[in-house]
Amino acid sequence: MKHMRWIALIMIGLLLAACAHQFSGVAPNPIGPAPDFALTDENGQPFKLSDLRGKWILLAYGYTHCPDVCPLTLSHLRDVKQAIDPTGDKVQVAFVTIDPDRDTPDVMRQYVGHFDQQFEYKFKGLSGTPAQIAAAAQPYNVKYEKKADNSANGYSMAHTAEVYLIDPQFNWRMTFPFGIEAQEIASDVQYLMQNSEAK
Amino acid sequence: MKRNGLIIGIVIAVVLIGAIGVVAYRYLAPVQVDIVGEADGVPFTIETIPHTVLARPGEMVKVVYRIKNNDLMPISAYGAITIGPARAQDQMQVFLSQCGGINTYQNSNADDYNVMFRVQPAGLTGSSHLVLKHTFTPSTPQ
Amino acid sequence: MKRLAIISVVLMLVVSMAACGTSSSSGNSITVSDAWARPSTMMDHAGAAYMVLQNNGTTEDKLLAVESDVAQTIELHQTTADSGGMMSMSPVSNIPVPANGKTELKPGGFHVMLINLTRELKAGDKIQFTLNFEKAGKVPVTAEVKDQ
Repeated sequence: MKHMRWIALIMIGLLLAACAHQFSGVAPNPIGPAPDFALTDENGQPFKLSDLRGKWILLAYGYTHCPDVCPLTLSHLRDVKQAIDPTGDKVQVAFVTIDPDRDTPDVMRQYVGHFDQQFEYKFKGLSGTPAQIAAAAQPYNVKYEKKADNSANGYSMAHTAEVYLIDPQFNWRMTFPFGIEAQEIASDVQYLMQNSEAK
Repeated sequence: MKRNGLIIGIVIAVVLIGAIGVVAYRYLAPVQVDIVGEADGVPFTIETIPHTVLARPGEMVKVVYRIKNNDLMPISAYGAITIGPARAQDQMQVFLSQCGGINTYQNSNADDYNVMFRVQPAGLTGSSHLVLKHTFTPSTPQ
Repeated sequence: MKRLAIISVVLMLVVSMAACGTSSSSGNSITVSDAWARPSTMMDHAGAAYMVLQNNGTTEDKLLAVESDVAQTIELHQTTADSGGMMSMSPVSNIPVPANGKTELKPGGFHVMLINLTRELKAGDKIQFTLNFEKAGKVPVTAEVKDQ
């Protein structure tokens, strides 16, 4: 009996190693062009998401007065870029605020600057008018609303916290729900980078 | 005498291989997940797309609950998520449920709600057939 | 196999976090460990601190408040996923720790919110907190500022 278990485990190990890649994100069905939008970047310059065409884009939405979820998401994206593209410009992170009233381009620059210090190629921190933000959020199914807490921090925002992956051909390839770890995202992005025909 | 030994050896080998095969299958095979929606006290028509899924262990799966509120007015409902069978509850992790919790369902066309989850393999003690169920009951708006 | 792998990865993470030199302090039946906080992004932006609360007693205890000179106002918050997968946080009046059990304050869940920071928080800084428990009373904790 003892030997059987060992043989089984070894075989399972071998078979697992031979298994195809398992994605932690979900691909849109069908895969299509990524929705484009126009906002203002962290330097106060007009910016369109398609300006990043040619890169693997990690897109996330949040707000800077969020001490828990958004720093977690941004630290994940920092870890992903550190893992697969630390010195290059192949992977580009873009963070869009859903709280434009408080998050001006200047605030966004300071905020994302906190997470991209180690990289030569910096993150994009994007803001705009409430209407522009809504137009940027809606095609990615990003939902957000103001919440009046009883908190000294002012209001907070309830928002979906997914990460979207767009490939260099500007197709929306993958959506990662909240709760997925950095190494899982990195593993999926790396797999897609190496297998550009894979779905 | 030698032939008896050989036969016994072959029988043991076959049993061994069979056992290994079963165990390997339980750890590698996709898990069937039935996607179920139930309206309990709310006039909803619920369609799940797809009705059932063969989920590869460790892979994120997305399904859709298409819910139509047949009433004349918007209705606030609570979607309770249950995973069956009870012994296999830990085998599934739901990462996103857009129709879980309290939602207001408009009285217009059917709306699509995404649910994303991941399953662990049946292994030795789990199940190779799970049920993901959302039960909708009336709730007061928050 | 996969579950074993996940458990061993989690164990490795817990061990490596414990090895980071954060202090462990106890007051009566409550032990607090692995206390850490994020580096501050901007001075007028709230910070967050996390830790593991272990209750070695036989009755449930509750964390009622946290005091520190690191911020003008300190609140307890919980991040939850609303309908539609919307993440939001709400102030909570207390954080319960079950008898003979633990409650983890970690990203995406319970956290200590530091509002109106009195000083910048840089990786490696230490913050002194005094935790106020319903039963165990005041428990001092030192948290390390970490970029993780």
